[in-house]
Amino acid sequence: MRIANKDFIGGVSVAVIGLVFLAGAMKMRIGDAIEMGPGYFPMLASGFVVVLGIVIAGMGLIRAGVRMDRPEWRPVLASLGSILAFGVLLEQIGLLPAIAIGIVVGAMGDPDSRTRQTWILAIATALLGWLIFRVALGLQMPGFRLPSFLE
Amino acid sequence: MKRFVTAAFAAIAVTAAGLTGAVAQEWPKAGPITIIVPFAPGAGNDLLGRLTAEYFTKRLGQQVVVENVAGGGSAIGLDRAARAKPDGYTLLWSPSDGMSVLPAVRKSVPYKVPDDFEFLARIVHVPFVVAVHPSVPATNLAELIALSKERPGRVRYGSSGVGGAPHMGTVLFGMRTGVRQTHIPFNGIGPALTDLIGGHTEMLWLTPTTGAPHVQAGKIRALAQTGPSRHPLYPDTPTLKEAGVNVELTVYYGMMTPKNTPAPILDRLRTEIRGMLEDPAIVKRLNELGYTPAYLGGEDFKKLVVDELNTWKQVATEANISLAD
Amino acid sequence: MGFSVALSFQNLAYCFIGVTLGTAIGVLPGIGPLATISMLLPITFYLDPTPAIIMLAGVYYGSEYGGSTASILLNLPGGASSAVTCLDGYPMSKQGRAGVALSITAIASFIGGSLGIVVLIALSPAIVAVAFAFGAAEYFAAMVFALIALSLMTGGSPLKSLAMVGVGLLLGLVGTDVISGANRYMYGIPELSDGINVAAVTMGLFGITEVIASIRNADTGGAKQKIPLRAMIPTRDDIKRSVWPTLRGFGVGSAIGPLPGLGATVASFMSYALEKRVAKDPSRFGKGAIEGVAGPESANNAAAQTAFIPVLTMGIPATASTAVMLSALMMQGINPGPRLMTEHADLFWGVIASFWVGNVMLLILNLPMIGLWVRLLSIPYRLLYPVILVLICVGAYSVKFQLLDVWLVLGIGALGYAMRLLDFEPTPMLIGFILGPMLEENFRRAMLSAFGDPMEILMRPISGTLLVLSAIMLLLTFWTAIKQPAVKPPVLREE
Repeated sequence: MRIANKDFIGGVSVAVIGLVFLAGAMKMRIGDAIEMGPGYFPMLASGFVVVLGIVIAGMGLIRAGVRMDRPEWRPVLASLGSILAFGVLLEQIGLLPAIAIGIVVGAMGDPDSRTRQTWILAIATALLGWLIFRVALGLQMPGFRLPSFLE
Repeated sequence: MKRFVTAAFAAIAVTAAGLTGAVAQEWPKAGPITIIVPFAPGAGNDLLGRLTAEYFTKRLGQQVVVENVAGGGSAIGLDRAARAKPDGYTLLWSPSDGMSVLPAVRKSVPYKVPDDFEFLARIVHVPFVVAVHPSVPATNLAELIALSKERPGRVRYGSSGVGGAPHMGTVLFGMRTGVRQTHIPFNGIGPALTDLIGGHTEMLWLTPTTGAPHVQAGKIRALAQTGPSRHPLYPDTPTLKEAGVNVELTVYYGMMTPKNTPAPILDRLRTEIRGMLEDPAIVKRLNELGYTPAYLGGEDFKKLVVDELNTWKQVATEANISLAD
Repeated sequence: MGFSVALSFQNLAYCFIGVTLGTAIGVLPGIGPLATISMLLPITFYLDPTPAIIMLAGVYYGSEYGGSTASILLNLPGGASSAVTCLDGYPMSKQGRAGVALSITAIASFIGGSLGIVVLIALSPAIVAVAFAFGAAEYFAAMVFALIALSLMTGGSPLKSLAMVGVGLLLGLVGTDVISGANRYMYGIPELSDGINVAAVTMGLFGITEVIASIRNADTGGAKQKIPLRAMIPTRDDIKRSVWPTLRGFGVGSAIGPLPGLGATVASFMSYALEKRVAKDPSRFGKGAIEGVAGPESANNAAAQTAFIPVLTMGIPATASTAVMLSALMMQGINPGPRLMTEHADLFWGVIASFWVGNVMLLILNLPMIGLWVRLLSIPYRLLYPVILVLICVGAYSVKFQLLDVWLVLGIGALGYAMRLLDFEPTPMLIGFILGPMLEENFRRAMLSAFGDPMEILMRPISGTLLVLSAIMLLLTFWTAIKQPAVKPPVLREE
């Protein structure tokens, strides 16, 4: 019996997600099958998820499933960091720098990335992105702006 | 490498500062003006907002752009406008839904009506058409009311959304005529209309242009309209008042700015709006879209907004409609 | 008569602009036809109605062609309707068969789209009648049927698939409840009131997850090998395998396309499920089966064309994009409705003829592009993936211009990666997310309509039949599950 197997961890995670939604559903008006309130369907759906999660976790314990792979932290952190950086920067200082810095952060996920190449890629993509999204498609986002604390 | 990057950023920063540096210029010279439209591109009154933006650009000599801030039945866009800088560079294009209906039926909205806004003008308004499926044994409004009384709760009506103007209008209609009908909410007018034509619901309140081709083709039957006078597309359909029901309802569309926008800017914008409604090309376009130009400036507009808000608050309380958060 | 309109120089030009732009934005993740059509709307004020609608429509169906390109090459769907193409298109790409997948996609799309137009012309009245026969009860029954048919379509453990459908259902609940108007699971964030954005879910689950998993592995995989030109041309066997899926996909697509709210996404999923069910060896699916590419691509293009049936014949939009096109027509003083065909015959037939011309253009446009696209794969992944990440971000942001969608991509990407480590499939989650809200809404609407009597739903001919069919399908699935001892679940992707 091994706790760190895929099925057990997965089942528990699913059950936890279900429980969070179940707790939320309990705060809504439930109603009954004839006149359903906003919480009726959420209650059923999250209950279904909780039960499935428990069953999967239980099977994982009984069958001693496959050991979980260790997450590749470097790619995970760099990719999520790239999105985070883009999101934080976009409305603060605009599309161009947000793209460039998003790329630089993302590139850290691969140990083989070379600094110089990365910066060229970042600047080229930023310019191209600005041309495509801002100039050609005219999407409503600032191309470049001073951060609000400098104004 | 590092030094190069720093230099590059410095260069960009300086250029940008140069571009935005000339701030202390007289309105509207300092930069583009944004009209917030609280709907997704193409939806709701996005078209009207774009028409206005186009006209303003020509008249003000400054780029006027539409920014779509959709969601929450227009609450998000209105909130954004309410919190914008009152410098005349952020305007709001709003339907009555968010101003007069939503604050009445929702427990809370993030903005205050009328305190958070300056009211430029009402620009157009549009009534609803009360339509039924042809199989419904009622050829006029009196027969529909009689039918609804005879079979309480069995007449089903669709709506474009719970707590929206057509839904609330139907509730008000029910209160004034003393009938009980069953509400079937939809997400948008398209599916609600399909359901009516398919005969799955009996009644629907919809805008004149949406209904016209189907009325002409005999797919649905128009029994009444809700405006103060007859809409040009429906010369033969009586208004509710003509049919003896004391309900008058139009959806208004108008423009606001954040509270405390300087008076000279407001005056200039009102002049432009009046001018726009005298431009024959624009009026033709508005008519084609089924809207009736109806200028109502400043305080009068504000009074209309508040009056309607109070009406809907009363209806919501009486009918016990409160959308929880 | 339609072709003389469609083949005028001006209309050809606008059609070309439309389909080219459509393909381009189809390739870009997140940026859908809706945003693009809305951007073009002001331009159409200055055009005649016919070229205006020809161009806007070109963007719409053109985006369905482009949507699958990044699905196949990078496991990054251009939109939800091409998510299912990832399942077999991306494995094909990893086997060095990206060119074949793209060629078959272009051809299947062309056939699906072209036949969809034939349906549009020939069967409009019949199809409109069916669409009107669908009330809430029928929609509910169709949703039950689709959910059962789809939830078990991917490989892997059925229990885990069901759990992911469930998690998708839960995510679909977020936002304002259409029936009661109550806000659910919004935690005080008003931007969530229209629900979690489907583009954020699709890109997070497929795009981000794939990037994270590939950063270390891609360079050693199939992506970097040299691909000879010959490998781009489908073999006789590829074509033979694709013929029936393409035709079946067209059938599925034209049946589902005109139903308001369902559209191309559900059509492509249904087609995939159907192909897997009729296949002699279903275990090939998920590992690069060409049938899993041809069917759904034919289906989503057929659906994109037949979605115009309710618009053009009744003036009722089936999707948000077609709604914008309607308002473009209204701006021109044309109020589309049942009499459009007779009152504006030139416009009606011209637009339909232009669809076909547009499909030919798309085929000509897309086939030579394949060589270029495949070359994209020879770029080292370490240079490609940071660009993909920011593309996803821009795409997510551009849907509604709100940062919340970027954060959702972040969160759902993280969730998707964690679930992938634990062997949970993303596709069932997307299915639950898309179908769940429609299931709930229509069930509650049907109950309201039936004045609270559930038997009413069962007694209606269409909904009753669909529900009985669903029950039979469920029983069959259990029966085969019991009869066959648990097979080792097929591994979807080499890790």
